[in-house]
Formats: sequence, structure tokens, C-alpha cells
Amino acid sequence: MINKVIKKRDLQKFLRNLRTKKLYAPVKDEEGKIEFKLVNDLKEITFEFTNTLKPVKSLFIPQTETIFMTDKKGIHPPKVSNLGVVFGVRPCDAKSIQVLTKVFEKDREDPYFLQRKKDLSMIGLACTSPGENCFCSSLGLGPFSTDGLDMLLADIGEKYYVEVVSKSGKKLVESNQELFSEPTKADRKLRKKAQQNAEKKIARKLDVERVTAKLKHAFESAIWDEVSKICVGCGICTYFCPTCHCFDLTDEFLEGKIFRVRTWDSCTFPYFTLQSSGHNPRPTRRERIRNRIYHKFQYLLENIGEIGCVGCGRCLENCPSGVNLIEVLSRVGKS
Amino acid sequence: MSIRCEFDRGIIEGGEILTEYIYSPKPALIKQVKQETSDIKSFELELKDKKEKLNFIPGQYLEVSVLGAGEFPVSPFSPPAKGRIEICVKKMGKVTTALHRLEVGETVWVRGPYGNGFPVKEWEGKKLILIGGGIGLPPLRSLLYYTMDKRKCKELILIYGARSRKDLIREKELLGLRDKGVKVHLSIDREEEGWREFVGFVPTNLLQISPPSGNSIAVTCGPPIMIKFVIKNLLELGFKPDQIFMTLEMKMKCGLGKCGRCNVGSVYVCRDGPVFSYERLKQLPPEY
Repeated sequence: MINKVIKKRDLQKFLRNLRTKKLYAPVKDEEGKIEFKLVNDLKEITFEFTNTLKPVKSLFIPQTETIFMTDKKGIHPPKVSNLGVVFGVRPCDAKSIQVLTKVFEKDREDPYFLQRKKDLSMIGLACTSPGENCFCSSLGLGPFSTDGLDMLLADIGEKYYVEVVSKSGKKLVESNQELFSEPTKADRKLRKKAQQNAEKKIARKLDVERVTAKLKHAFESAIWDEVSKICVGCGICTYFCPTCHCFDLTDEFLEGKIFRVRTWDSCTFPYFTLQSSGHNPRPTRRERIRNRIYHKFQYLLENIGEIGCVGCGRCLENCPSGVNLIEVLSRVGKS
Repeated sequence: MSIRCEFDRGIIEGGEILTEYIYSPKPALIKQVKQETSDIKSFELELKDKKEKLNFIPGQYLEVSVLGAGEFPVSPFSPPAKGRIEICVKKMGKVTTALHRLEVGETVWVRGPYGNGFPVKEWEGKKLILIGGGIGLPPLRSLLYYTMDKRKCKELILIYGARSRKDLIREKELLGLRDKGVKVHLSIDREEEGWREFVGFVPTNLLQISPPSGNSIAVTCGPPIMIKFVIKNLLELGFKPDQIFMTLEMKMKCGLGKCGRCNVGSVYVCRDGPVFSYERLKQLPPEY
């Protein structure tokens, strides 16, 4: 791995140069929500955030996208092309794109996701102050991990410490060589300290190995009944989950044309599995919540060898009825 | 009705047909429509592009689109053959209702085939017992004709039933297969005038016929409650779980194991099924 440093004022220059392509970065909107947005003015970018509200997956599988448009001549899939750079990705979100890539690559490749994966570079921003709901370290990750990123920047005071992870990261640095310099011994020390401090701040813990082992025999556990009484089935945990990828395909009319549209869907909704005969294989919240957790901690592991959780804590943060994934899973682990 | 979505319309207008786009279906002309029962129609389809082929093995399924209404999965009614393909569809939800409105000469859109299909090669030289109910007939009929054409099974038994005589699909055609050496057993749930075949439920008819389990394979397709009792009765008749096969019905969208709704445990019915042996099914959670 190549290590560099960049002065904070030079970062602005670097970002300005990146803007020759599309530049996406965390931007705070009028309501105070922080989301990845296409950046026109570098001043819009916010550096003070725990994580974006919607995960970075929204740039790779948009909440709504056209699969094809039809007219008299036939079916026209859009050319999915989105050359650009995403700046300010947290390590947990970056890892989620690795997980999703395996899902969308398996058997038959999904060109929509994979084209965006090819087109978008990700520059990470290490978490120097993780949030109260973060638990990435329980999933083999950390506030400074580089999985899935092209490069990672860590705030070390006057400068950012830069780890170049991939070829495309290397290109980004090479084409802006004059802005980067070699890290000094002091820089390395500062980086190490920042990482240690950040890691210490992650208070939540989950014994994932134990949980995945215990889940094998917990399908009929009473835990699912109990959680289903708290859960309101709103699906926000799935919408904000960086690895949730279930979708719906529907036909919509717009200006006299028919569009087949892909939208985010959620396994916590009853209609998700409801058949036209009226039969529903997962008829109550009990089965639906159980399926969501099993999908993340068993089924994905069996299918693609990855756990469908990166410890971002968004489901804990945003659940309106206070369902706590860690608590639920810890109970499974203890059962 | 219009929707407000983040369409990048400039891109869409300039798009071109890219066949590698996995969710893009191909146009097929409706050559014939037949009213099978009060709410079931069969459609004969032919791909508009004669160079395109739709090879499948019985038990696999297609995703058929009625543009504007959506897409639904369906197992072909006809055996694999060059050119035309038949589907038999019950009017159930949004898309199948839209399909029922279409007439000869109109276009549907087809992609596939998807799924595993029946392990027909492994069944060569065995007795095949096909047990169906209602709209569960299509994949069995496809398999039946496929097997007859290939003459690869020792014996063919079809046990098929519906609620009433008017709900039976192709009564005459199926009874006519007796002349071709297929043992056909039909049933309806309640007594009707002029009905000479069995009266009662399919699982009961199965017990009454009691096909021998030795060197046999039983394949069932129908409503979940029927399948449940068919399996129970087959086990009673001495069939082993690995001799019993069924095609599972789930809500499916993508057909490729990505959209996430048809999983039973870690298995995606659309990709790893829809055909399962009871042996395999037993190992899965009961979420189907």
C-alpha cells in the first residue's frame, strides 16, 4: 500500500481537480440531513458527520431507476454510465459495496450495478469519532479499514494521511502528484494515534462468530415473537441498510411511455412475498424479521461467503420503535 | 398517472437495445388463445425474431411481460419444441388479468428460461407418476409430452383433478392419452351428472390408485394444501423422500436470485428451484 499525506488546503485543490468528473460527497441539506450529493461547489461538502443518512449504496443501486423504456420500436435499456468519484465514504459503507458486488455478480451479472461499480471510485474518510451506535469492529472492520475503497483519508490535524488502496486510487494520486507528499515519522505516529482513539470510541460489541453459529438452531426461538411485537414493520432498517439490496420491478407510465422501474423493496413488508392466490409464505412480522436477520447472518454467508452487516448502526439509530439488532443478536448468542 | 422519479431521460431516449441486459425480455406474438376454463386461458406464443430460440427443459419457467402491467413467472404448458411455446394462465393478479385481455396478434414479452427444471435425465427408465391439481397442470403436461416424445420412461401415470368438471383443463385431451398408453386418472371434488371418473380430492384418488413405489418417481404440482396431503400419502405408499418432486410457487420478480423475495432459507426458488425433491425441501425452513 502506498502512503502519502496531503495538506488540508491542498485537499480543496485535489477535490477541485476531481470535479472534472462527477464528484459526489456528503452534503448537509436544509433539514440537516447528510446525504451523498453531486457537488457543484466544494463549500457544500461537509466533513463533520458520523455517517450519511442513506448509505453509499444509493449511488450504486438508486432508490428508483429505469431498467428499460419502451416505445413502438421496442425495449431500450438506458446506458448506465456514471464516471465519477465518491468522496467521504465511511469504511463500513465501502465494505458494503464489496458485499453487494458479490450479490450482483453471482451467476448472472447485473449490468446496472456493476457498471456503476466500474465507473465510480471511492475515496474514504476514516472515522475519527465514530458514533454511539457503531459496531464495525465486531465485523472485522474498523474506523480506518480500507476494504472496498480506492483510497482512505484520515484527519491527522493539519493534514490528511492518505492510504492508496487500488489502481484507480493510485491514478488519482499520480495525476495530482504535486499535492501529495511522503508522510513523516510524526505523521505516521499521528495517524496511529487517531486510529487507536477512534477504535476506543466504539462501545458496542457483538460476537458475530457465536451469533452465526447459534442462529443455525434458533429458527424457532421465542426471540422472534418478542421482536415482532416491538417492530412496526416500517422497513426503515432495510432502506438505510448499506447491504440490503432487495428490489421490486414494476411498470410505470410517464409521458405516454412505459418504463420498467426498479425500486428498493423490503422483506419487512407483507406484500413482499404475498402471492396473488392470497398465500403468503412469510405472513407475519415474526417470519419477516427473522428472514431479514437470517438473510444477513446466515443466507448471505452461505451464498456469497459474506455477512450482510457492516456495523454502521443505521438500523439502531433510525428504528422508530427501538428494535436493537445488537441486543436481539446478543440474545441469540446467549441462547 | 405519472410518477416522479429520478429518470435521466436524456440517457433513456438515446438508449439502444442491449440483449446482455438481463432484465430485458424479447417480443413474442400471440398466435392463438384458448379459453380452457372460466378463468384459465392458454396462449400460443411465437418469438418475433425467428433466430431467437427459447430452449427449456420441463419445469423451468419464463418471465412473461404484459408491458404496462408487469411481469409474471410461468412454466410452459407445452413440451420443448422448435418455434412455438404454449403457456396456460389463470386470471389471478394484475399481470395475468392484463394478459387475459390480450388477443391473437398482440405482443407479449418473454425472457428466460429460468430455474433448474425437472432432472429428466436421471428419471430415464423409471415409472413417472404425475400428480396435479387445478392450475398445477402446466409443468406436468409439458413433462408428460416431453417424456412421451422421448419414450424414456417405463410407465406414465397422470393423476389430475379440479374442483369441478368445468375447472378441469383439457379433460378430453387428457383422457385421449389413454390410447397412447398413459394411465390417466381424473377427479373432481363433488359428484356431477355424467361424470364417470373419480369423485373426491386428488390425494384421496392417489391413495385409491396406490401406484407402486418401486423404481418410481412422483412429481406433484398444485395448491399448497394438496401438495401437503399428496406428500403425506406418497410417504404412506412407501415412496422415499428422494422419489418425490414438486415445483414450488413463490412470488418472483427478477428470476435470477437477486431481488430477494423467493428465498426459502438460503435457497432462491427462482434460481435454485423451482423444482425440489422432498428430500431437499425437508432440510429447508417451512417458509413456502
